[in-house]
Amino acid sequence: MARELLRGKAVQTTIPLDPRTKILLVLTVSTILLSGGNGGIMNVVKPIIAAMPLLLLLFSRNVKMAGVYLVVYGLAFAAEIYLVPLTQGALNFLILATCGILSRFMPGLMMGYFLFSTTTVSEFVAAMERMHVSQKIVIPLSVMFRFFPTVGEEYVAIADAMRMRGIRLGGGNPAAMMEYRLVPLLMCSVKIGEELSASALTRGLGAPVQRTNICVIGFHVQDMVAIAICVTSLGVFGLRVLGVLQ
Amino acid sequence: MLTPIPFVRIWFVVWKMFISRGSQQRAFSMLLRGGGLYKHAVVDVQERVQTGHFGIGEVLMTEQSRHVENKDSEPTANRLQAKDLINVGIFTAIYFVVVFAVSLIGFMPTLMPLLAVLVPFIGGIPFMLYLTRVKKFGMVFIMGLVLGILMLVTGMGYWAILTGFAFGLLADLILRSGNYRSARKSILGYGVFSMWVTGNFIPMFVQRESYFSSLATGYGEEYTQALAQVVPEWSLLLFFVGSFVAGILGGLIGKAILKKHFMRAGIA
Repeated sequence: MARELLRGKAVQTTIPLDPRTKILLVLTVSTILLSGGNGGIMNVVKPIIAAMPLLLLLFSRNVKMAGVYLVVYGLAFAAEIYLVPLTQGALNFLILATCGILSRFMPGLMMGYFLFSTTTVSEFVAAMERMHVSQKIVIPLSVMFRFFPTVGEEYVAIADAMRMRGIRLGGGNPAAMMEYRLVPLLMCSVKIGEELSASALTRGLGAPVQRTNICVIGFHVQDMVAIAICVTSLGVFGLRVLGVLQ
Repeated sequence: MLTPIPFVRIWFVVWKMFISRGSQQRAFSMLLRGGGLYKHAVVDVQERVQTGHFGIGEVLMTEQSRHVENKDSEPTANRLQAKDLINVGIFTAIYFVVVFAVSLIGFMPTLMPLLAVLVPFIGGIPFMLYLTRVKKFGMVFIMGLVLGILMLVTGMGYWAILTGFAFGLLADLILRSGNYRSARKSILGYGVFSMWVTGNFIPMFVQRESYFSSLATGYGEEYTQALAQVVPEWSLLLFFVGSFVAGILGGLIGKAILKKHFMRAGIA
């Protein structure tokens, strides 16, 4: 997961979207599917919203993840319809809860994955600055996204080393396992973090001047379409909350 | 034109000015002591400083001079600098990776509510180390806010932003009352901060009426009854209490680990 978080280089997509559109899409998908309610007009809105991550993943040529999403979501949906009436008691509840959580969280997760896998850190920062988000949020966010892959790599390396020494999940003491993995990870992360901090400061991060950004971001036709879908579904959601629509 | 050797020398001096926080004057005298061989380099530096074309060095000096100013006036010394904000980012990343690794160990959709306890419990270790870096008001609630944004973009809904901000602010107030040094208050502060995780579970509770009524039409009345019994409305309170208690325990463990490893290694 960590290696794919926020690309360093731009990726080829057939339909490039503005990072702000992507953020709005994530917000819409998670809002509608987590707390949108069921029945009425939501029977139309929900499938459209749930299909958005699938389409966007296909457009960004990420067929593998699109396939995973389709299979998992399809299985959860099918199980909810066909398997639930057949089972009884605790098993029934287990299936119902699993499917319910999967079908509600999967689309949001996939949308988030799409945002991460198609946006560079620079683009993300440019979008945040365009939205006039305070430096107090932009700096931690960009440092965090830059730092994720590093911590992930260190974690994998330390896990390998510990496995070689026979410290593994099944091997007896879970508290010791936690300690032997976490402490080295924190030690080296702090060291790397200090170096990163020095490097970023030398490059003028946090300097009392306006930073410029090389990334070209802006809204195009495809953004308009996506935003229109988001605004319409959020509007429907709002009207339903107010009780105007069924 | 500059030969390579003096060029190296200039950057070394610039670097020195930054890390030793000495005055520009001192750095220049150091450079002058370098001898006649570097004389043209000195002239070059002085010219660049005068004309303002100093590239990175200029940035470093303004950063440094601001730091010197802040030492004199107490209110601005407590303001967040770029370095602190970078620290927030780094520790939020570490915290999140640890949390993510933990949630993978116990990952099963039905076990998800258990994460409200597991995450604060394990997260105490990185957080206690983070608190040794936090000496300024605002660093904890910015962390909460950033975590909330992270939850939003990973598709967990927007509630974590609100809880992250609210409980982060509360934790910050508690920590400030102990001057960011009290061990007891840092554990209490972490317990309060831990309650941000409940934000991820709020979507299961808001609009329950419509959720259950829609289930009732699909699955029949008894399912809804059973589900409402397993996840009653007051159990949201249980999430808050659970994460708070787990946070206190995690904080205690974090403090112990801090003493056992990080203080000894000179990191904390």
